Formats: sequence, structure tokens, C-alpha cells
Amino acid sequence: MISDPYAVIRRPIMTEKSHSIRKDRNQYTFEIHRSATKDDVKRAVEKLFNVKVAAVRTMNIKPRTKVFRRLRGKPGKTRGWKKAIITLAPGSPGIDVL
Amino acid sequence: MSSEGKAATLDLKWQVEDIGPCRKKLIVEVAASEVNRALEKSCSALAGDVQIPGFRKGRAPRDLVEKRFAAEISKEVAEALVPEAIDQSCKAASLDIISAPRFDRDKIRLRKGEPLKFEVEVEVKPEFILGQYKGVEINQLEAVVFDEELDAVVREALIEAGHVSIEEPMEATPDCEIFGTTRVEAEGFDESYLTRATIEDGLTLGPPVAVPVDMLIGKKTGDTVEYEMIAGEECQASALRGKKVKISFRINKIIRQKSKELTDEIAREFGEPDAAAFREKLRSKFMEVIAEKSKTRAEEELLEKITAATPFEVPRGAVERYKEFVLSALDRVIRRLRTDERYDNEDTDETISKLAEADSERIVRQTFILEKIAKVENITVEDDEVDAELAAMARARGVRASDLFRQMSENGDLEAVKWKILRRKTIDFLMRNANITVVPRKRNGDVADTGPSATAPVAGGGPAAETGASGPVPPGAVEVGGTTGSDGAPAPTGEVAGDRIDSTSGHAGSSGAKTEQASEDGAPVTGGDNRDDTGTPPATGEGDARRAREDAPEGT
Repeated sequence: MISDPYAVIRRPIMTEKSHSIRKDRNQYTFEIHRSATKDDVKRAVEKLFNVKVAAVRTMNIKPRTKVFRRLRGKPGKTRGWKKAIITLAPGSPGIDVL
Repeated sequence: MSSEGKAATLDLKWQVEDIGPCRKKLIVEVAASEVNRALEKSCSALAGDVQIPGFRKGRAPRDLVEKRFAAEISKEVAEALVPEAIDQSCKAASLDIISAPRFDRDKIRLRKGEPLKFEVEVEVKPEFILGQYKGVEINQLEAVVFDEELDAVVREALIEAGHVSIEEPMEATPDCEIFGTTRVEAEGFDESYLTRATIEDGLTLGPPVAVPVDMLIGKKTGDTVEYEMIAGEECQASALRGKKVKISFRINKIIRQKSKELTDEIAREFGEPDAAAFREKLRSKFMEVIAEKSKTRAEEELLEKITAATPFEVPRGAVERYKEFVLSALDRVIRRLRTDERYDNEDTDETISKLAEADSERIVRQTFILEKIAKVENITVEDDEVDAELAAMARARGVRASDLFRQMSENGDLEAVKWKILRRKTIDFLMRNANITVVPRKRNGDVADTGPSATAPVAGGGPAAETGASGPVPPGAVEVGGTTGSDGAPAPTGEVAGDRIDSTSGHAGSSGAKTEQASEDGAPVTGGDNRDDTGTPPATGEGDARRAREDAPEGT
């Protein structure tokens, strides 16, 4: 368990898709710590943003193979990371992620 | 005094306060609704173009764009809204501004949902009551040509065309040209100069100190004239000022140029049947010059009297801008003088700056007065008058009138042409309504510089120099006055300023300094023969005039 909420929540993800689900389904997307659990994320979000979380879904984004210029054209790997999609409870205030 | 009101198109409030002669402070408040609308519009436009990581181009949400680019959007909206608000408030407050509004951009804060408040300072046209401008008493010199003047013109024409005989007299006389070497010695200074002098014109080439050429009369080739003097403040070489200077002038050659006698045969070379006809032709040309110059003199007297009768505070900004324009138009001269080591750079700058300063206020004042008289008397410029002027200018430049029209429309020079016509018509109106007393002209010329060179013809044709009519100036902005003479009067237009010393300017010195004049129509005149038959300045000068006009703010 990671107790520091700032260590759990790395950054909000701002993409067309995350924007779309935020508007349509009241769901917010964050990059989280690789070892953070759903409970960690729920506690951290509720503490940081003062909201009520209804559900948390997490997923590991696997590293991709990519040709890097800094490696002089040799293939390398992008970093892997963990994503959490948080659904807020009905009636909960929204999160200002902008 | 202050006034306030509510403008029509943009929802704004304004307040005007007097902060000095011809200067107003405009306090403007644009309503919050207008600010929001402008922000909304700007944000929508930006959202369609902007690319933010994670979003395809133009797909970023409005709120994100608004937050990310808040500073840029505010700046853009302020830049669009502020000039519009100033424009509307000035129109609503009936302010006739003649300068770019001055305000501190950094102080303008634009926030969503809040009104936009700012203050600007503007210079406005002066408000004044016209003094007497009808029935003004002026003198105009009678246009007559004296025989001795005509003789001089004929001689000049013959010399110009090469009908001369050169003698080398034993002794220098007042009609001789003397060549030699001048050595100037002073503490820490020892220079020699090739020197050319005539008794009439003084030194036309030589050292930067005055040489009393009268001392040369009676001297022979090979003689050396020596004298000592203390160089005064007027000395053009600063290294010599206040020092005891020893000058040695050695005469190397004395020549006398004499024109041949006018014969029927020579007259035929000029395209005239006989000598009498040639003289008559020169007489009529010289008469035209004298008539034009005496008319110009009378007009200047009239304008000076009207100006004296109409006191008002001239906007300093307009004077300064006008001065800047004159100086930029004279930049070529200044640059050339800077390369001449005989002249003190600082003095040259100072002299030109003083001349520009003296002229600027006079011309700006006259411009406002003429503009007001034209308005009061309902003097207007018709399109066909502009067309005729453009056609004349096109003829003189050898271009098509339509091309010239297009070029001038693009450059914004048409206003200058209109002003030139309006100015001319207004002055003509004033002359028609003046009480003109024709006074006899004395011998030895009392019309400024109607010397023979002004009418010297070239073989087979017209005059080498023609007088230029006073030219155009858009009101309050880009009128260039003639170079002011030592008596404060403008130098005559069309005067050739070259090696020959300008007796009216008083600043060319005795060492053959070349001067150029700023003509009344907004460009330096480098020589009378540069002017075309419409009195418009040479092309280079017009370019300067145009550039200055472009720099000048609107509404002037």
C-alpha cells in the first residue's frame, strides 16, 4: 500500500478519449504508480480532490518497441506505465484537471 | 474641461480631459459583455487551429484551449479591441486626432467578465479663431526686366553654350577667376588646399577658413598673399577656432572668361532668327521667372500676415514629427557633409536641426490655418482637378497617368496630391481677396535671387531651371518648407544650390559649401533643374516624402 496520495497519482491524462469519457461518463483518467492498487488510487483521489469515487479500473500499459534517434537508430523500448480510470459517484463534484 | 458620453457601435463609455494645448486624455471603459464576446470569438478562432498533445488539430476542447492560451488570447483581444474602442470614442467625442494615441500596453488588463478600462493620450487639431484673412494689405513687386539684367542673362547663356573666350590677364581684377594653393598654419595644424576664388563669389574651393579675396585684386600670377587672423566661432574647422592662423595664398593662374558678342549667327544656333529675337525670348523667360518669384514673395508675405493675425498653440508633436520628416528628407545632405572632413559634424547637425526647427512650426501653423480657411470658405478639390494634376505629373515623369494613379493610390500619396491642389486653391483665393499694392522693383534686384543662372537657356531650348510652385502637403503632417534664410524668410523655390553660394541662406560659408534645400512640396531640391514642369519634386525626394507620410499618423 502506498500511503502518499501524491506518489500514487502521477498526472491526469488529457487526450481526446479521456476528454470524451469525462464528459459522457463522469470518468477521469490518471497515470498512477506502477505498484498502486485500486484501493490506493481511490483513497488518493478522494483525498486529493475531495470527491467520492464509485469505481476504479486500472491497466498496465506495456512498453512499446520503438526506434530511437538517441540510440542511433537502434530499437529500444518506451517506458511502461499504469493507467487508472476513475468513475465518480453520482452527485460528487467534478475534478478540475485542466 | 472634460466631457463624457456613450458611444454607439461598441458598448463603451468614454471621458475626455484636457491635459495641455491640443492634448487630451481619453478614458475609455469597454463593457464586460463586449470583452466576453471578443474573448469568445478569439478563442473559437484559436481552437480551430491549435494543436495540443493528445488531441488532433482543432479537436482540443474549448476550456482547455482557453486555459492554456489565456495570456495570448487576452493580448490578441486587447490589441483588437483597444484601437477600435479608441477610434469609436474619438469619433463620438468629435476629437480630430493628429497623432497616434499613446498608452501603456502593459497597463491594460483584460479579464473575462470584467470591463476593459484604459487611458490614452492623444494630440488633436488646434481649435482657434481665424484672424483677418481677407483684404490683407500686401506688396507685390512689379515684374520688369532691366537691360543690364538681360545683358547678364544673355552673357550667361552664351557662356553656358560655350561661346566664350578665355583670357589670362596679367593682374587679377574683380571679374577674374583665380586659381592657387592656400596654406593654413596654426598651432598643431598645417594643411594646404587647392583653391579657386572669384571676387564676386569668394572661395568656391579651398580651406575651411575665410579668405578675404579682395586682397587678391591687383596681384599677379606667382604672387603670394599672406595674412594672419584669429579664427572665429564661425570657422568650419573646429581645430582652428580661437587660434591664430597664418594663411598664405599663392596665385597659380588667373583667367577671365568673357562671352562672345551675340550675333545673328549665334542666335540661329539657339533656334532664333536673329539676335534681337533671341534677346526677346530670354527677356520673356526672365520676365516669367521674375513674375513668378514676386508672386511667391507676395504669397509668403500674405501667409505670414495671416499667420500673425491668427495666434494659437501649435501641437508640439506635429511640429516634432514635421521636423523629423525634414531631417529624414535632408538625410542625404547630412550624410554627405559627414564624409567631408572640412566640416565639423556636430556643427553641421546642429545647423540643419536649427533650420528644420525654425521651419517646422511655421509650416505646421500655416497648414492648420490654410486647412481651416479652405473649410470655412468651402474650397474643395474635385476629382477632375486631381485627374488633371496626375496627368501633368505623369507627363513630366514620362509614365502613364493610370499607372501613376494606381501607384499613388497604393502608397496613399493621393491625399498629398489633393492637399497640394487644395493648398494652391486656398492661396489663390487669399490672393484674390488681398489688397495688393504693386511696388516698383529697384535695379540690382530686389526679387530674391533672380540672377541670370535662373534663366540661362541651353542651346536649342528651354530654361535650365524653372521656378517651382509651392507644393503639396497633407495638413499637419508632411509639408516641407523652404530652407529658412538668415532673415527667417523661406529661400526662393527653384534656386540652384550648388557651388554657387546661396546668399539668402547665410550658412553655406565662404568656402563653397554645398547646400540643399527642402522645397515647399516636401522634398529636398538638389538643383532647380531637377524640378519638373509641375513643380513636383524629383523622384528621390518624393520617396522620402512618401516614407515620411507613411510614418506620419493618420488624421493629420
